[in-house]
Amino acid sequence: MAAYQGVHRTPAGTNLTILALESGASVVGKIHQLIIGSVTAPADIATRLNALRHTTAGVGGTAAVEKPTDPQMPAASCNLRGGTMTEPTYEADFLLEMSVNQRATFTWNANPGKELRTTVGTANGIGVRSISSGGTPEIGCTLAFEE
Amino acid sequence: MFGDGKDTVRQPAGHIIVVGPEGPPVSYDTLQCVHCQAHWIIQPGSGRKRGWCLKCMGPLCGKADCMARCVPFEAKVHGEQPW
Repeated sequence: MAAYQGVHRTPAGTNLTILALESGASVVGKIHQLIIGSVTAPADIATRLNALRHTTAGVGGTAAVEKPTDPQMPAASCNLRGGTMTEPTYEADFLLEMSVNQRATFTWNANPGKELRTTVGTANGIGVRSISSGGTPEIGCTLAFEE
Repeated sequence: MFGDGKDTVRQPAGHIIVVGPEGPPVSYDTLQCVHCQAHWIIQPGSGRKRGWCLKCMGPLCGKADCMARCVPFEAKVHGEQPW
Protein backbone atom coordinates (compact mmCIF):
# COMPACT_ATOMS: atom_id res chain seq x y z
CA MET A 1 0.00 0.00 0.00
CA ALA A 2 1.36 3.38 -1.00
CA ALA A 3 0.43 6.84 0.26
CA TYR A 4 0.07 9.92 -1.90
CA GLN A 5 -1.01 13.50 -1.48
CA GLY A 6 -2.13 16.29 -3.74
CA VAL A 7 -2.95 19.97 -3.40
CA HIS A 8 -5.19 22.32 -5.31
CA ARG A 9 -6.70 25.78 -4.85
CA THR A 10 -10.01 26.88 -6.32
CA PRO A 11 -12.33 29.82 -5.57
CA ALA A 12 -15.31 28.75 -3.49
CA GLY A 13 -18.84 29.26 -4.68
CA THR A 14 -22.04 27.34 -5.16
CA ASN A 15 -21.53 23.67 -5.97
CA LEU A 16 -17.94 23.95 -7.15
CA THR A 17 -15.49 21.10 -6.75
CA ILE A 18 -12.19 22.01 -5.14
CA LEU A 19 -10.40 18.69 -5.55
CA ALA A 20 -11.61 15.22 -6.49
CA LEU A 21 -9.99 11.80 -6.15
CA GLU A 22 -10.94 9.45 -8.98
CA SER A 23 -10.43 5.70 -8.71
CA GLY A 24 -8.23 3.76 -11.09
CA ALA A 25 -9.70 1.17 -13.43
CA SER A 26 -9.01 -1.55 -10.88
CA VAL A 27 -7.65 0.39 -7.90
CA VAL A 28 -9.52 2.22 -5.16
CA GLY A 29 -8.28 5.18 -3.15
CA LYS A 30 -8.68 5.66 0.57
CA ILE A 31 -8.73 9.26 1.76
CA HIS A 32 -7.24 9.55 5.22
CA GLN A 33 -6.54 13.25 5.54
CA LEU A 34 -8.05 16.54 4.37
CA ILE A 35 -6.57 19.94 5.14
CA ILE A 36 -8.61 22.96 4.13
CA GLY A 37 -7.66 26.61 4.36
CA SER A 38 -7.61 29.78 2.33
CA VAL A 39 -4.86 31.93 0.88
CA THR A 40 -7.14 34.90 0.24
CA ALA A 41 -6.72 38.01 2.43
CA PRO A 42 -8.29 37.18 5.81
CA ALA A 43 -12.01 37.92 6.13
CA ASP A 44 -14.95 36.43 7.98
CA ILE A 45 -16.43 34.44 5.12
CA ALA A 46 -18.03 31.10 5.86
CA THR A 47 -17.90 28.31 3.31
CA ARG A 48 -19.80 25.04 3.54
CA LEU A 49 -17.86 22.15 2.07
CA ASN A 50 -18.86 18.53 1.60
CA ALA A 51 -16.96 15.38 0.76
CA LEU A 52 -19.22 13.56 -1.67
CA ARG A 53 -19.06 10.35 -3.62
CA HIS A 54 -19.38 10.75 -7.40
CA THR A 55 -20.39 8.26 -10.07
CA THR A 56 -19.35 10.23 -13.14
CA ALA A 57 -15.97 11.89 -13.21
CA GLY A 58 -15.54 15.60 -13.79
CA VAL A 59 -14.37 16.91 -17.14
CA GLY A 60 -11.58 19.40 -17.66
CA GLY A 61 -10.23 21.17 -14.62
CA THR A 62 -6.62 20.95 -13.59
CA ALA A 63 -4.65 17.77 -13.08
CA ALA A 64 -3.21 17.80 -9.56
CA VAL A 65 0.02 15.91 -8.99
CA GLU A 66 -0.33 12.77 -6.87
CA LYS A 67 2.88 13.06 -4.92
CA PRO A 68 4.01 9.83 -3.26
CA THR A 69 4.84 10.22 0.41
CA ASP A 70 7.66 7.74 -0.15
CA PRO A 71 9.66 8.82 -3.21
CA GLN A 72 10.42 5.17 -4.00
CA MET A 73 6.76 4.38 -4.58
CA PRO A 74 5.39 4.01 -8.13
CA ALA A 75 3.07 6.55 -9.71
CA ALA A 76 -0.49 6.53 -8.38
CA SER A 77 -3.21 4.66 -10.22
CA CYS A 78 -5.88 6.99 -8.90
CA ASN A 79 -6.25 10.46 -10.36
CA LEU A 80 -6.60 13.85 -8.67
CA ARG A 81 -8.59 16.49 -10.54
CA GLY A 82 -8.77 20.09 -9.35
CA GLY A 83 -11.46 22.66 -10.14
CA THR A 84 -12.83 24.58 -11.79
CA MET A 85 -14.28 21.79 -13.93
CA THR A 86 -17.44 20.46 -15.48
CA GLU A 87 -18.84 19.02 -12.29
CA PRO A 88 -18.93 15.28 -11.62
CA THR A 89 -22.27 13.60 -10.93
CA TYR A 90 -22.42 13.47 -7.15
CA GLU A 91 -24.52 11.32 -4.88
CA ALA A 92 -26.97 13.20 -2.71
CA ASP A 93 -25.63 12.17 0.68
CA PHE A 94 -22.36 13.58 1.91
CA LEU A 95 -19.58 11.65 3.60
CA LEU A 96 -18.23 14.56 5.59
CA GLU A 97 -19.54 18.08 6.05
CA MET A 98 -17.27 20.97 6.91
CA SER A 99 -18.30 24.55 7.56
CA VAL A 100 -15.15 26.60 7.64
CA ASN A 101 -14.41 30.25 8.32
CA GLN A 102 -11.94 31.60 5.79
CA ARG A 103 -9.61 32.59 8.63
CA ALA A 104 -9.44 29.04 9.96
CA THR A 105 -7.55 25.95 8.92
CA PHE A 106 -9.50 22.73 9.07
CA THR A 107 -7.83 19.33 9.34
CA TRP A 108 -9.56 15.98 9.29
CA ASN A 109 -7.73 12.71 9.89
CA ALA A 110 -9.23 9.24 9.63
CA ASN A 111 -8.06 6.50 11.91
CA PRO A 112 -6.64 3.41 10.17
CA GLY A 113 -9.46 1.39 8.61
CA LYS A 114 -11.88 4.30 8.80
CA GLU A 115 -10.83 6.10 5.63
CA LEU A 116 -13.25 7.36 2.98
CA ARG A 117 -12.94 4.70 0.31
CA THR A 118 -13.78 5.19 -3.34
CA THR A 119 -15.42 2.46 -5.38
CA VAL A 120 -13.51 0.89 -8.24
CA GLY A 121 -13.75 2.38 -11.76
CA THR A 122 -12.45 5.58 -13.28
CA ALA A 123 -15.88 7.23 -13.16
CA ASN A 124 -16.09 6.78 -9.41
CA GLY A 125 -14.44 8.84 -6.76
CA ILE A 126 -14.84 11.30 -3.94
CA GLY A 127 -14.78 15.07 -4.35
CA VAL A 128 -14.39 17.94 -1.92
CA ARG A 129 -16.96 20.47 -3.04
CA SER A 130 -17.94 23.93 -1.85
CA ILE A 131 -21.72 23.80 -1.52
CA SER A 132 -22.18 27.45 -0.65
CA SER A 133 -20.03 30.37 0.39
CA GLY A 134 -20.43 33.93 1.57
CA GLY A 135 -17.92 35.01 -1.06
CA THR A 136 -15.39 33.62 -3.45
CA PRO A 137 -12.32 33.00 -1.30
CA GLU A 138 -9.73 30.76 -2.84
CA ILE A 139 -9.94 27.50 -0.92
CA GLY A 140 -6.84 25.35 -0.70
CA CYS A 141 -7.31 21.64 -0.19
CA THR A 142 -4.65 19.06 0.61
CA LEU A 143 -5.90 15.53 0.12
CA ALA A 144 -3.90 12.55 1.32
CA PHE A 145 -4.83 9.06 0.24
CA GLU A 146 -3.62 5.49 0.05
CA GLU A 147 -4.12 2.92 -2.65
CA MET B 1 -7.56 16.01 22.82
CA PHE B 2 -7.96 19.75 23.40
CA GLY B 3 -11.58 19.77 24.56
CA ASP B 4 -13.21 18.92 27.83
CA GLY B 5 -13.73 15.30 26.88
CA LYS B 6 -17.46 15.58 26.25
CA ASP B 7 -17.04 15.44 22.49
CA THR B 8 -15.18 12.18 22.43
CA VAL B 9 -15.77 8.45 22.38
CA ARG B 10 -13.71 5.45 23.33
CA GLN B 11 -13.05 4.37 19.74
CA PRO B 12 -13.29 7.38 17.41
CA ALA B 13 -13.08 6.91 13.63
CA GLY B 14 -11.32 10.19 13.03
CA HIS B 15 -10.32 13.55 14.38
CA ILE B 16 -10.93 17.12 13.33
CA ILE B 17 -8.70 19.99 14.35
CA VAL B 18 -9.71 23.57 13.58
CA VAL B 19 -7.10 26.28 14.05
CA GLY B 20 -8.54 29.78 14.01
CA PRO B 21 -6.95 33.22 14.36
CA GLU B 22 -8.05 33.51 17.99
CA GLY B 23 -8.04 31.10 20.86
CA PRO B 24 -6.60 27.62 21.12
CA PRO B 25 -7.11 24.94 18.45
CA VAL B 26 -10.44 23.17 18.69
CA SER B 27 -10.59 19.42 18.33
CA TYR B 28 -13.41 16.98 17.75
CA ASP B 29 -13.64 13.24 17.35
CA THR B 30 -15.70 11.72 14.56
CA LEU B 31 -17.58 8.47 14.18
CA GLN B 32 -18.15 6.63 10.91
CA CYS B 33 -21.34 4.99 9.64
CA VAL B 34 -20.76 1.29 8.98
CA HIS B 35 -23.24 1.37 6.08
CA CYS B 36 -22.33 4.49 4.07
CA GLN B 37 -18.90 5.48 5.46
CA ALA B 38 -20.02 9.02 6.37
CA HIS B 39 -18.16 10.69 9.21
CA TRP B 40 -19.80 13.05 11.69
CA ILE B 41 -18.68 15.13 14.61
CA ILE B 42 -19.76 13.88 18.01
CA GLN B 43 -21.95 16.57 19.54
CA PRO B 44 -23.69 15.46 22.73
CA GLY B 45 -27.11 17.04 22.96
CA SER B 46 -27.33 17.86 19.26
CA GLY B 47 -30.69 16.13 19.03
CA ARG B 48 -29.66 14.18 15.94
CA LYS B 49 -30.90 10.60 16.02
CA ARG B 50 -28.19 8.12 15.13
CA GLY B 51 -28.23 4.36 15.39
CA TRP B 52 -26.30 1.20 15.99
CA CYS B 53 -26.28 -1.84 13.71
CA LEU B 54 -26.36 -5.05 15.73
CA LYS B 55 -25.17 -7.09 12.72
CA CYS B 56 -22.20 -4.86 11.88
CA MET B 57 -21.72 -3.90 15.51
CA GLY B 58 -21.06 -0.32 14.57
CA PRO B 59 -22.63 3.15 14.56
CA LEU B 60 -25.12 4.39 11.97
CA CYS B 61 -25.31 7.97 10.70
CA GLY B 62 -29.09 8.19 10.95
CA LYS B 63 -29.92 8.56 7.25
CA ALA B 64 -33.06 6.65 6.31
CA ASP B 65 -31.28 4.29 3.91
CA CYS B 66 -28.69 3.35 6.47
CA MET B 67 -31.23 2.86 9.25
CA ALA B 68 -33.77 0.87 7.23
CA ARG B 69 -31.70 -2.24 6.49
CA CYS B 70 -28.25 -3.65 6.96
CA VAL B 71 -26.09 -3.20 3.88
CA PRO B 72 -22.46 -2.99 5.01
CA PHE B 73 -20.30 -0.79 2.83
CA GLU B 74 -18.22 -3.74 1.67
CA ALA B 75 -21.36 -5.52 0.53
CA LYS B 76 -22.57 -2.39 -1.22
CA VAL B 77 -19.31 -2.09 -3.10
CA HIS B 78 -19.44 -5.69 -4.24
CA GLY B 79 -23.12 -5.63 -5.10
CA GLU B 80 -24.13 -8.22 -2.54
CA GLN B 81 -27.66 -8.63 -1.30
CA PRO B 82 -28.66 -6.89 1.94
CA TRP B 83 -29.02 -8.95 5.06
